[in-house]
Amino acid sequence: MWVLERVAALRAREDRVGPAAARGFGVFSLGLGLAELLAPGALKGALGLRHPSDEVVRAAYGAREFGVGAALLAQPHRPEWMWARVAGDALDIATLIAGDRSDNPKRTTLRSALAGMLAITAADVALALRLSRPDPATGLFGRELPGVARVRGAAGMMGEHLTKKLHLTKKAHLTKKAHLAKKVLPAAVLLARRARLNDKRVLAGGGAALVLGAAAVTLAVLNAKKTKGGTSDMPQKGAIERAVTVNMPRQALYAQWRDFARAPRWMEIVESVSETGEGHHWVVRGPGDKRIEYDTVITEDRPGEVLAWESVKGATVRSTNRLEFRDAPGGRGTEIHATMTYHPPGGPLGKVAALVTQKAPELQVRRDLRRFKQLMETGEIATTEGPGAAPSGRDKVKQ
Amino acid sequence: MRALTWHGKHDMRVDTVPDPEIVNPRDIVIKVTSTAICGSDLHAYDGMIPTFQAGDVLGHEFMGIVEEVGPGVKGKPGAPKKGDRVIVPFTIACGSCFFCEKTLFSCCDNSNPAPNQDIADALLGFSPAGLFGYSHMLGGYAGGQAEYARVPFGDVGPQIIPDGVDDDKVLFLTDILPTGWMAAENAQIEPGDTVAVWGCGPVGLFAVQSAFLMGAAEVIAIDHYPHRLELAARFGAKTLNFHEVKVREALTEMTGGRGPDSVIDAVGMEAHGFSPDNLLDFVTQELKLGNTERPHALREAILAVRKGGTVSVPGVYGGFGQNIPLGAIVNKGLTLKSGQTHVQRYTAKLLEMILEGTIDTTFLISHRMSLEDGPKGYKGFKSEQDKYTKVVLKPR
Repeated sequence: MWVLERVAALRAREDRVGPAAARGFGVFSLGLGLAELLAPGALKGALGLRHPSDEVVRAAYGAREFGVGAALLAQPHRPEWMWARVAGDALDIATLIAGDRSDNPKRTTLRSALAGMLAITAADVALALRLSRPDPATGLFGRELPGVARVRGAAGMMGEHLTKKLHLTKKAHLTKKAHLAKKVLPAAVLLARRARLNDKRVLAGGGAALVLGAAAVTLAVLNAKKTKGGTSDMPQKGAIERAVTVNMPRQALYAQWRDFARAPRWMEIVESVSETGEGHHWVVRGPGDKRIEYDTVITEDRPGEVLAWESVKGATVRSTNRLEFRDAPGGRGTEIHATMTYHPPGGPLGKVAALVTQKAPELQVRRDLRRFKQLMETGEIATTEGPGAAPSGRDKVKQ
Repeated sequence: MRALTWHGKHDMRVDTVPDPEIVNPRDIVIKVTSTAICGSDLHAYDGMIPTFQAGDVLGHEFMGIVEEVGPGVKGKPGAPKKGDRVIVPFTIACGSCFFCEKTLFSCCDNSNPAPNQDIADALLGFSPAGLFGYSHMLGGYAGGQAEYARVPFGDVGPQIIPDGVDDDKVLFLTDILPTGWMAAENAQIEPGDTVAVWGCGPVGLFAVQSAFLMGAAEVIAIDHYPHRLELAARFGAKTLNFHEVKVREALTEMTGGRGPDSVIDAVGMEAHGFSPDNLLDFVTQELKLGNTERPHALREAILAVRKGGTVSVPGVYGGFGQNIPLGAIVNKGLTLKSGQTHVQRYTAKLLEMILEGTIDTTFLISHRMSLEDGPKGYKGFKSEQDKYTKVVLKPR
């Protein structure tokens, strides 16, 4: 049933997202390819790759990248070009891994590039898979090579069998996957960033995990239901919910939040919040420390109980936020229940970017609640920042 | 300042790193006078603990003189002042959260920085307290095998030591003494009980002493290093060398066919010995095949303990182990207790016992070295465990 459902869904929807995304990747490929072609030395220097032949190779890579980009733009429906991108990604990853030597002075940059490459590969694989789905009109895998089609057909049937066997509906299946990926990916990214990636096995294992995780997230995001409407018609589905218990009375905690200007103290990516008259103006740091500004209005305000706000119509970041303050059972302080939805600039890819760069609201809301709790209960926020406080002299991750 | 830093498996170096400073209001900075290498540091040394990072300063057993006091500690009644000598518990605790109020200090909600808690959440379900120098999952704080150390919540953890008491006598209040004590407490010993202790390292040896102090009639200590077994025998324990006897058979014999009332696994994730289960663990652990532990001692303890007995686990485990005899836990009706030590709960009481002479601590120290010789200390403690029972480093 799973395959049929999927075909029906495709038919109903007319896959527009896939080719659109493929076009996006096409433009990206063109740009990167051009950069590699025109300045192969710069990239080589930046990554600390040392062989003289690297320059020639890099230029060849650039030509390949450029070619694939052009092909993608011309024929965004054809999965072959996406698969070509995937093959190219594999080559790039292999090159980067080869350059991951202890004597490479640019090792950190190279590894960042590698991490980025892995994420991009994941997205490429996801999109290629999506484009390789059976033709909605014929139900055949007409856009693939015949052998691949057969294998995929068999895999699809096995998937259907498994789904049945596990009594999972397709939706539950996907939600579960997405849920898992959302939980595991950020931790994996953080681990990868912090753990000492000193041996190739770890790197390869971590890379594979990252690719799988990122692929799952990308798939989940691409499969997410599209909703129409403005800021006032926020889908409550997919809302992020987090709770924390603070050893203090409700009123005091509410008062802290109500004074929005204090938020940057515990909200990591928030730089400032100021009054605008109707509401508040937020300045936050997005992926790549890009500054994002938007306005919000308060939608519900019941002192000591509820505080809710949402972005104004047309804001760069569309979000709704609701905090509920409840007495914890047995007089054990206050439970703060936070619910939020958000749509970052850049759509689905923006969400993936936010996750990978640790700027995703699902991470932030949890960490911010914890920081708030620490501040309230102890008068300070635990940190390993500061001279000598971070254990490692060389790597002080901004927290 | 100079500090002993981790750079990977079996790679410890003495580096010059930035001096610590007061960062948060309740911080204090101490000038370290003595710091020890812990058995759990060896797990890190062996590369068994996830989320270490090259350059991390190790060390969670340290004491010294208060050099600087944050504004949140200054003038607080009972809090350390500049110039005080203090021992520093290895668990960092805020003293005011739900868990600290229940004296579950090693479960403190607030001492692990928020992003680090995410890592612990993923691996453990919830994040425990931050620890000194023991991976980024558990705080990412710089440790005390250094000339100076920043101590968060300086008003909660550090215990002031009276003048005239030698460092060596009180240094182990930071970890291994309370850990051995809590292990015995977790074993729920009743007067007349027989207690078996796997591992005669520092924690095992303190557990032996503690078990007797709590009324155990008999303590049986298990190891394979003759010198360590000798030390256990010095405190009145009967000893078993697992290279000479079959441990479970011997224990059953020695307890009249009933089994010990309580068992303590003071070995943890890197059991020694060539039993088939341990060899299999070794392979899967090395190849990272979903296994991070070698819990041979725990398996044996669970099978050896009498029906309705208690299993206490002070030994360090970090991730996921395999083939734990769950059937024995259920069908024999066992109680399993564990935990990182709630050091702050015990320091005052144990200090008093040391000063009274009830507990002997200095017997353990086999080597005293300078901080610069730290890497040598690690190597010896790892590879010559019969000679090295405890290494104490003196930064100056």
